[in-house]
Amino acid sequence: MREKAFALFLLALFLFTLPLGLLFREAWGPLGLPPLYLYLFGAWGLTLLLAFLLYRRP
Amino acid sequence: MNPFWLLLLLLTYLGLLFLVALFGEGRGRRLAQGPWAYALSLAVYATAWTFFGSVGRAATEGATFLPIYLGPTLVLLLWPFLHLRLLRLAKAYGLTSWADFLAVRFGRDPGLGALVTGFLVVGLLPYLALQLKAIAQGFLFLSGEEAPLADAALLTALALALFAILFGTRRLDPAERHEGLVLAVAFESLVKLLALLLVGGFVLLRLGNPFPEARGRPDLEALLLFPTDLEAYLSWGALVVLSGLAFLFLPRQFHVSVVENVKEEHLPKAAWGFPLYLFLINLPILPLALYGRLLLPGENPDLYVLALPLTLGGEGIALLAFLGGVSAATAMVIVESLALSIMVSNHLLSPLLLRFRALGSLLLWRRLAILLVMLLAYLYFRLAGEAYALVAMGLISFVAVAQLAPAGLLGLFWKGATRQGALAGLLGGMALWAYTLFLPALARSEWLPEVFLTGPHPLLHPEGLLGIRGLDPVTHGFLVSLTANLALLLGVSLLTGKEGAEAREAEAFARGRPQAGRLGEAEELAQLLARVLGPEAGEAFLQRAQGLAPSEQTAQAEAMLAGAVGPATARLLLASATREAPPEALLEEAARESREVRAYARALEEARRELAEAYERLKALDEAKDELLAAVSHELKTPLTAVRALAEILEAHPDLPEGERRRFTALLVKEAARLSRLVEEVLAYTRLQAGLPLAQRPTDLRALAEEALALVEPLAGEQGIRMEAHLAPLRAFTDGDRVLQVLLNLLHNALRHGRSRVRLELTAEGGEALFRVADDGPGVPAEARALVFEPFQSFSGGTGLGLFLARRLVEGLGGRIWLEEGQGAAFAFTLPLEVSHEDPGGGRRGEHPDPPGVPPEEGRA
Repeated sequence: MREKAFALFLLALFLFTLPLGLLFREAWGPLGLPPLYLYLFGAWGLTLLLAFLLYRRP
Repeated sequence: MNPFWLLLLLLTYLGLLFLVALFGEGRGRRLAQGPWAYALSLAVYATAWTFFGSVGRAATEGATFLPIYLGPTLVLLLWPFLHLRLLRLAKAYGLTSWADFLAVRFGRDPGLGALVTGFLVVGLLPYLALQLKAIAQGFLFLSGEEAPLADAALLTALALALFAILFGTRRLDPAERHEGLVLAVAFESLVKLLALLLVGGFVLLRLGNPFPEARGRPDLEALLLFPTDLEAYLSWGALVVLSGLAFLFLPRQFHVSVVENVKEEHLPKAAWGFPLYLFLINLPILPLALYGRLLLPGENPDLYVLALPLTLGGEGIALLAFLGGVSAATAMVIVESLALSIMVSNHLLSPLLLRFRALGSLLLWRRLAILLVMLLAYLYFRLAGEAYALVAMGLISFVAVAQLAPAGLLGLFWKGATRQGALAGLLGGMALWAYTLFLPALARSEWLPEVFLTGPHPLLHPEGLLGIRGLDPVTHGFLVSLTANLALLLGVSLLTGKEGAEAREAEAFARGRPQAGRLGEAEELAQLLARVLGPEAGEAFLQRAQGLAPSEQTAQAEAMLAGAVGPATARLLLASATREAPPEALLEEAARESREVRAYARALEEARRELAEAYERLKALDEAKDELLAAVSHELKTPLTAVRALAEILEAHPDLPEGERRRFTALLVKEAARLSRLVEEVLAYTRLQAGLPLAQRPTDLRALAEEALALVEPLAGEQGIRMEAHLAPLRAFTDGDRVLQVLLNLLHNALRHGRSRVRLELTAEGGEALFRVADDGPGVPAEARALVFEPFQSFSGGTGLGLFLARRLVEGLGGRIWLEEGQGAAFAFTLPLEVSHEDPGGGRRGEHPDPPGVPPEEGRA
């Protein structure tokens, strides 16, 4: 489990610190929502889901 | 709104908080000790900065409000492992803060603890001031007043100090948990989350989706994009790291996550539960920020959370938002001031009070320390608070707290970190923090001359050292101070060595178990604890010390003292009740470790031996299978040859006389029966080897014996052998089919060797059923007796499996079988009647319904 947790940490670190300015050049995206925030909350939500699956049993 | 009613609401809410805390110390104790209360108490991290300041930052700088929550999310992914180590060390050593940790880890240096404490008090003042400012600002905004802001902040500070004193400083007992405080903090975490979600929901419900509204505004578009310049990217990354470190090293986080933790099992749930909380609380931030900018262009962005509901006519929602903000601020202020007061008490007050022989008044001084911390925070707010937005004030404190990270993390995982290295790193980091962030903040508020903002030389510009340009002050201060701190710690540690107490502690920390430098008697230690902490502590120690070695007893007493008065004072107090551990004690410790290593080696050797034995058994089994194949083939060959020869004779001579033909046919039947028996035995052998489970049930043993007799009766009649029986009525919990098979094997064996009679007996003997099968044949030769139950040991033709199978079956049923001495051959075996435990050889056995020793009854003759 320790290895999985460390792998998840590295994945989250990568997702949270991408060069976001180079990736999201438009303020408006699908449904008029900002792609930058869609990405940030999406990556955060994915991390939470994986953490839940990893740690749901103590 | 009327200030009076607003004040009444504020006081009512604080009263409710008191009730929740009282509930937590009474009936709600179990709730307060549960995993969800633990995860929610971690949300003391989300302060007024989150509640008001995040919207303010999102409204002015866009997405940069998010790294403050992404950092802790990253840390929590490793939380169950990283934190578990800290938790165990803290319990073993009685640590109550990072100051305790650093002081103990680096040679029990009282100076180091005092330095860290003093620095954290100063470093966290801006953060505490931020909370006071948030409450006062919100109060005045809702009441429509402009001033006096300071008065509202002072009142708030005094009320919160009272709460922290009442629920955080009941006793000095280090084992004390503050369930009331934990439940109150968890409750406040729920209130602030629900309040912010409700405000967001209300605004969205009334105004709809903010993004199409903002589309026509180029100034708002900038909030939805990430800058492409390197400085902005560096700032983002630095904020993620900074907030992660701050989450780990903030005194209040140490307090709720370590001191108030009751179970290690709570960590995995908190690892996803708390980040989920942060995720949810951030959902409404951006929409609120956009509507604030659209509808309230002249308003202070930090107050959008209150102003938006008011503008939309939702006074109730605005009041709820105010209570959410108050919750966020009060939880933080209460826990932070308590944690700081414990640090001040352990590292600054205890040594002084011990010197003046006034340690008995420590609890009073700890309460005064809470008040002092609050008043200092209020003073900072008066001095510099007005000059900064909420987030900017909080970040200065974050950078201060992050200075503990190099010494803390390397001290936790690297044995090479030395006291000199830690001291150099901390001093360097602290000095640069003060120069780049703290003093410029005071200068910006015009409490210090402008030179603290510009520096004496362009290369020494506080917000751009060595000519660095473009970074915001917080990122610059953080990167510069942490780099210097880390470099000094590593460099000085590599140049200096550890010796004495420091080397011992580094080793002990790596093992996670305190090492006794001194030894004392349990009684004397208990008396010392009773004198300092009260009689309950003395009694608790005596209970815990039972069965512990003297060195472990001393470590236990020291941990209890350290939790209450700090590690340095605890060591001094122990000096009166202990003596220096003689070298023998250290030798004893080394000998104990050596014993552990030897025991491990023995266990390894044992495992190796068992493996070798298993291999030998496997090899023997393999060879036995080969022998079985050979024996079976050989045994099958004889009857097969006979069957074939007889069949050929009958085919070639169709005119054989009737008598002769009948004789050949009878021989054919006999040989076929022999073949069938051989096959049955081989099948039984393979089933046994496969270890099929027993089918045990209550069984009538006499009926079983009678069935066996009936089955062999024809064979006996054919051979002219008389069957005799003596069968007692017995029942047992056993596998009837297997018992029948054993009986048939023994009876066939007896019929093969018997001359005129075979006798079967069933009696009860010593709580067991005893079967005996005897014949009047020549008996077993003396040289063959030892081998009679071995497989493939045939002395009369056959596979040699019958008796072997009988033995395995009987042992599998929990009995035993043997060959008796005397005339002819007599085989006996037993089966248990009254056993109620699990048996490795057999299955569960039930009780016999009849009492043992039933008078024997003659069966059929």
